[in-house]
Amino acid sequence: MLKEMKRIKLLSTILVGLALASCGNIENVVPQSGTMLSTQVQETYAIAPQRAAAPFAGMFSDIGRPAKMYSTPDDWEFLMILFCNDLEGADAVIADSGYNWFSVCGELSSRNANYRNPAIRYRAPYNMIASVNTFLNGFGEDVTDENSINMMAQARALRAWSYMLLCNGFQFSYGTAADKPAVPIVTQETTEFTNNPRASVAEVYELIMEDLNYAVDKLEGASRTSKMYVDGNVAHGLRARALLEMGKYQQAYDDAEAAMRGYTPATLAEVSVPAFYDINDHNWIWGYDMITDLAMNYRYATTSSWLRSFSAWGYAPACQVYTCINKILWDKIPDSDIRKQWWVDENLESSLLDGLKWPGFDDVANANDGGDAKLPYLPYTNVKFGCFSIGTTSNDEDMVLMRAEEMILIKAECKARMGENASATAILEDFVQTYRDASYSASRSGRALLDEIWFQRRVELWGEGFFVSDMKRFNKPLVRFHDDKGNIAAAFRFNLPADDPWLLMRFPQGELNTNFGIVDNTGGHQPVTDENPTLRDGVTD
Amino acid sequence: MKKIRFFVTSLLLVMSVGLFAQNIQVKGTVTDASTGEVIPFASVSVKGTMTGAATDLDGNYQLTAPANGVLVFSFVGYQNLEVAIEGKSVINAALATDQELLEETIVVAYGTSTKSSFTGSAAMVKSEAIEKKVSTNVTSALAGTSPGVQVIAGSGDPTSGGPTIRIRGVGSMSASSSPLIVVDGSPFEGSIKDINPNDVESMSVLKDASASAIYGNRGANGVILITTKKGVGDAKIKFDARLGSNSRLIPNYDVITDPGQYYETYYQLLYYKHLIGDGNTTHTPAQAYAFADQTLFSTSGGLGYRVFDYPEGEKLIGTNLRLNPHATLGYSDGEYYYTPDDWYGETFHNSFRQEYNLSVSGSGERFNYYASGGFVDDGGIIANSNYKRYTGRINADYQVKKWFKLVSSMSFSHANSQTNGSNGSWGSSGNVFYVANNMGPIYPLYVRNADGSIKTENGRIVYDSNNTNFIRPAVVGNAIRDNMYDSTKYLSDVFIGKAGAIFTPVRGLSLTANLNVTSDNTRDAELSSIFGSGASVDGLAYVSHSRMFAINQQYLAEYKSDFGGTDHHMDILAGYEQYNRTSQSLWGQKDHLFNPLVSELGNGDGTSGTRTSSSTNTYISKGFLARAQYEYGDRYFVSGSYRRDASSRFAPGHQWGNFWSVGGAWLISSEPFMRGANWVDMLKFKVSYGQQGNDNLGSLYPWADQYTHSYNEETGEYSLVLSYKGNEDLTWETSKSFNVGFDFELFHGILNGTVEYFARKTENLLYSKDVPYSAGNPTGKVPVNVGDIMNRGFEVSLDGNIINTRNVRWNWNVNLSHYKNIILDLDPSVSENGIKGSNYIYKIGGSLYDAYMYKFAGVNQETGYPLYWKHVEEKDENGKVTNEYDETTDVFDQATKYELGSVMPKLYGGFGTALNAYGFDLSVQCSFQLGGKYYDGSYQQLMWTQDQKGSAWHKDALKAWTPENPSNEIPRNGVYAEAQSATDRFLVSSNYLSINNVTLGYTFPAKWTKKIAMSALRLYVAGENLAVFSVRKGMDPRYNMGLGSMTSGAGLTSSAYAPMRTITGGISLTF
Repeated sequence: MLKEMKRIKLLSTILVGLALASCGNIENVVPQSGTMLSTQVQETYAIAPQRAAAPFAGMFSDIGRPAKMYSTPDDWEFLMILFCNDLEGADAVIADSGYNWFSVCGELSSRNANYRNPAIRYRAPYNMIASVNTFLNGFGEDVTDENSINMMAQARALRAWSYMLLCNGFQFSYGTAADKPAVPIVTQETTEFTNNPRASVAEVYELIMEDLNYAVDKLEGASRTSKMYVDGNVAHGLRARALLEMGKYQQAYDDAEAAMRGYTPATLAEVSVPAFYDINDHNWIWGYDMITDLAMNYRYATTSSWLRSFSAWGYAPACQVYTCINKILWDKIPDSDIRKQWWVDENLESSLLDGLKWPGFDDVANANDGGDAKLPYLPYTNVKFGCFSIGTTSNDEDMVLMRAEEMILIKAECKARMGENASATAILEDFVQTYRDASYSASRSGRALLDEIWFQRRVELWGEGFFVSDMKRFNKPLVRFHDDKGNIAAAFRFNLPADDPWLLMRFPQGELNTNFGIVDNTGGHQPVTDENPTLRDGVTD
Repeated sequence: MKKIRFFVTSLLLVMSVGLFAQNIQVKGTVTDASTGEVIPFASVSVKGTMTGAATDLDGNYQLTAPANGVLVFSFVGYQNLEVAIEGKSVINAALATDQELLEETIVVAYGTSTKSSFTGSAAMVKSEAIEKKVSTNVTSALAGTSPGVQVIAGSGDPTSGGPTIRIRGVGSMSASSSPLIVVDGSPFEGSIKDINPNDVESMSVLKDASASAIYGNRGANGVILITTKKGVGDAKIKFDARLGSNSRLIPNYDVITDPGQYYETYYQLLYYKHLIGDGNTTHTPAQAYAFADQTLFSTSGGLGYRVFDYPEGEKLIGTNLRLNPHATLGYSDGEYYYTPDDWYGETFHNSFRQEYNLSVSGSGERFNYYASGGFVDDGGIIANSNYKRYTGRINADYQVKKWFKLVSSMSFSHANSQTNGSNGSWGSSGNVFYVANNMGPIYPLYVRNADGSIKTENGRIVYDSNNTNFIRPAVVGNAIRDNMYDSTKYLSDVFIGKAGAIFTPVRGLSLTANLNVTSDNTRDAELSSIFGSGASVDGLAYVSHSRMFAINQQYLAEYKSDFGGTDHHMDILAGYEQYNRTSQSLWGQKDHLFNPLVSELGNGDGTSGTRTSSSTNTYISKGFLARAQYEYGDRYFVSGSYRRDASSRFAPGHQWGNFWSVGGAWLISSEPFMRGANWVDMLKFKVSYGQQGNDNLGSLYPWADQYTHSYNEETGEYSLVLSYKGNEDLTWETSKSFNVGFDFELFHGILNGTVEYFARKTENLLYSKDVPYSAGNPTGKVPVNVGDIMNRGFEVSLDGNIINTRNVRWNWNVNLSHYKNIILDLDPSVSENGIKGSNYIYKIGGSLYDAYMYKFAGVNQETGYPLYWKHVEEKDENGKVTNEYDETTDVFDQATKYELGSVMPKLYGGFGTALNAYGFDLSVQCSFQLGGKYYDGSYQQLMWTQDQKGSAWHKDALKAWTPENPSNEIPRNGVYAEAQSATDRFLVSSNYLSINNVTLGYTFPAKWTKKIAMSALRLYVAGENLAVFSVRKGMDPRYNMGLGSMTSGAGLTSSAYAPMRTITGGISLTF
């Protein structure tokens, strides 16, 4: 028995010893990967303080980060919102194909609480707003450090821009609907999210102006390391857009002028080849600098995949879902205007393609490798937006967010709205004659001046995300077809009056389920083919 | 530390129990009653005392025992034998083998139990049933055979990692509902297909808390215990060879296959689209014909291809909307010749399946061994799809000393497989299943020269990928081509090893240390061919390697006593267990492959497309466990268990959870008052209750905020963004299970069975709670512990022998399960209105499977538009509802979603029979489901004539509404309606009956086989997955779990790897 007791003692000791030796540290299990926990972030900052600037840059990388929320080809955040703002308009057209991930924009079936497309367009700005709020909360009450103030001002500019895009989707313009509900306001002070009702357009713009005034004030004269960031020019430019929307034309004019200080429009030669892909271009005031690594993470969710016609790793070329211009607008562009060549004609020809070749083929437009990378262009396919190389697969092209040409057009519009038609005409003619069409005359088209300005915006800024906000600001109907039914697919072919409630977005289910303060937009119906054939917008008549 | 000291002390206390008496010397030999061979290491003990000895290598023993005592002889695999000493000094014992008792044994947590003493609920599948299945995944043997167990195969892919299993319903909203799989005592997280089913002795499914609470961590959704084989008795060599054929089980839906009919139908669609529109458009018939003529072959809005020839100046479809009688199939534009191909037929083919297993087993003096080798080659039903597995196993136990035994097992599995990359993804033009099932019947698969011959290029066939003068309106590239030229190859090496030591320092006490190791190395090489999907980068090679290493340590102490031969039996178990798992991955990709056929990074010469990454993730759980079982007089059984578990998935401070159970059983048939009831062989009442845990919310770190980062080479700056919002307060989800039932054997084995009722309430659900999008959470969700759900139902399992004679045995089995899922509580913010999704609604009182969809209300007979139900509320000026009613509308945007109740089946189960007569054996196993609903998304897609131009259409589209042939069931083709939204029109009955397995075999009489030195020879044919009967051709509702949509369906849709039928012939030899 004694022997047995000894044996038991010995064995027990061994077993308990083994058990203790095996206790891994369960309280400190962290990943070693591209994902970091907050504790690891803090550790990193402690030993490599230079990394602490990363969250600031992170906000800007989120403007066009591919597939952040959904692993789908239509999830590219703000850049995708801008794209949809054109596709829900009249001028940008994608074929009615099984590969058009944006057909909900063409059909305007995006007014569906359960669709992903409108959810992305709602979530991306609010995610940005939350990042900004968190960032601002990271600073104390009395910040005096210049660098910190600069970053706070930039962050607030991003927040203002986010609200401008949201407002634009969910309500008509400031001019027609200032007192109507827009979207819920979330700031760094917000704690109530589950009963956060929609603020009016005017209330949201009050916040936008607060942020932009702060940004302009603090960023005046500040330098920046890259044009992806916000400096005084960008802040002025954003405020110019806001003031224009609010009908404060003189101030908007001044801001537009301040915004383009140091920037000149792209020259005729520069836009006589596919362009708008490099943030370093001298006409870009603000842009999205696509990080190659992010683009390669999910190459289908990029502007290069959809908006550009030169990528060999994109939906547009591989599936022939090129972003085309609506023929009824293209037909109005004079032949003498270089911008007529920003889109191939019905024979797939454009001077912008002269001398260009798709790798392994004689030309670009007709190159057809069987749909693995490239199918032939469709009539009116855009070649405005270029790539770093033809047949690229890295899809890391930059996207323009603000450029000198827009500021010129804002200035012209402000003058026109203030009744100074001569000044407005001069601004317009000076710009177009110098940079786009030497024989241009503002009156030749026979349009009213404001319509002419809108026409110039629609042509010059095509594909850059301005259509829907412009249409609402000009209080114009959506006119996608005339008697000439053009090149728009039957499923997308309809017109809508300027006040049609179907022009307003609907809140996504995830918001309706959890924010009980929301009263959704209602009214209107899914348009059908050839609806409202008689509507005209003054531009494409 | 405190806990461990307590544990040691209590062990020592238990040790000191012991009784002593007046003794004499007794010796003898222990032999096998049937063979006469001696049995070494058999245990000999004096009943009711701690005194005992073991036999030596010659089967001899010697001990000191009271002259009036009783000796108990025991050995694994033999029945215990009690012999009264009565003063004798030599007592020899011949032990009878324990075959019958083995039948009764149930493998339970940390040990075994007998059917009569088990207080919990378990279903058991034994090797005979497993070996009958022609399947590479052992868990598929649970389908239809185990009550309360749903087996859901997500794919027919031979490389798929085994079916999804749900035990007694879905136990969680956001966290995992998968059971814990335990192989030979250790948690197993590898792929189940790495275990050779032929090596499996039994599978036990533990369903209630008293059986599984001791697994605490992850036991909440049930536990499947897999036990591998051991050698028993004489050396046995067994060889089994099976050869057979795999084919597609479920045919495609009834789609339009006649190209002319397809053109006609599409032409009609275009014609009426213009003529009628939405009822308000005003087009004349002439305009409508013109529109249809102009659009029919167009790429935007039309079909893109012309594959008929017809006389110049005529039209393909006449004004009677019928095919031009002069039209002939096949058309040449001078450059190419176009004629449709049978994509379905060209894609799917039968393939070969072969399987060989060889095993050697036996038990010797100190040894007990089982060694096996196996090979299976399972071909897929498409090209370049197969699974080859080589397995080897050695299970060996060695009795080193009479108080010390080593147990070990080692298995190795090497798999070499090939699959198609895009299986399962809806709408993907790279998914060969989606494309072959959904291609319109007018498109060529190959490019043909003008003379009609198939075009080749450098010896390769040129597939039609929109590289002719026509372009398809849907489906780019050519998935069938890609499947030929691209490849996805997996190689995996899996080692599972166990080493254990069992000490029995004194009788009744055993101390066990077990170390289990799983090492899984898998390499995946994917080639995007320059002739296929990788053309744009001149070929792309992707290679990944993943490594999983898991180690489980177990230290157990168990003490059994009957307190000196009394009617009291006690069994106490205490222990510590820790599980550590490290998962690592490394991958890279390169493009511009010099050699188009080699998918290795070294073959990639491009640099700008190079990408690499790697990661390491760890998971740790550990816990203390204890269990006590008490039995009185073979009639009353009580058990209790406790486990305290910690998981690294939670933040420090929230990691520990306490889990426990109690159970009791009453063997009524052993009561004296039952003696008269001869027809009752066994009757037992059992009841249990307990609490289990679940930590698996998907993320390994759900408690922490998580960030991702990137680097901008142009600016030299890093960026960091929040990617996941964690919750530090997150802790265990607990489920409380109640089980009550009867086990019985009646009429001398004619009717055996179990009837059970269960209620399982899951509390503090690990739930990814939706937060307002406006709060800007990157995932839109926050992990929380909130809400309660309940699954409750009953299970009946019956089996028995109808005939049981020497030459004829006929038995049957049937099992039925019913359960209901109820949501008892939700987050307060959503408790009033519930959580609404695109097709479901979660609300208190409802279930996780309540459909929430639009309701179809017929067809507008003026326009052919579908009608939907719409709920209208009339309100007064104060917003108070004064009147509400339902009406129909043909404006889909005004339609209302309705709550349509649960889609879960009311009843599911299986039945089967086996007949053995004069050497022949025939068995049939079926399963079925009744009273549920299935969302037939694949059918919706085939009827989605608006947007699926160029895709296959169901023949029902021919019955669609037209002005001439109105219908109230099928709206006009091409009318914009619900698009992809879920409508009750596609919610159909999920009833099915499937024949899972039929086996016919013949075993040659032993007197013949003995002449060729063989102890058994059996020939058999087996059909696996033979047939499925459902309400619609093409539909496979077997794997229905919850709600589907158009793009996902509820079960195996047309996007998924279609399930296979296997017909096999085999031979089984035993030496």
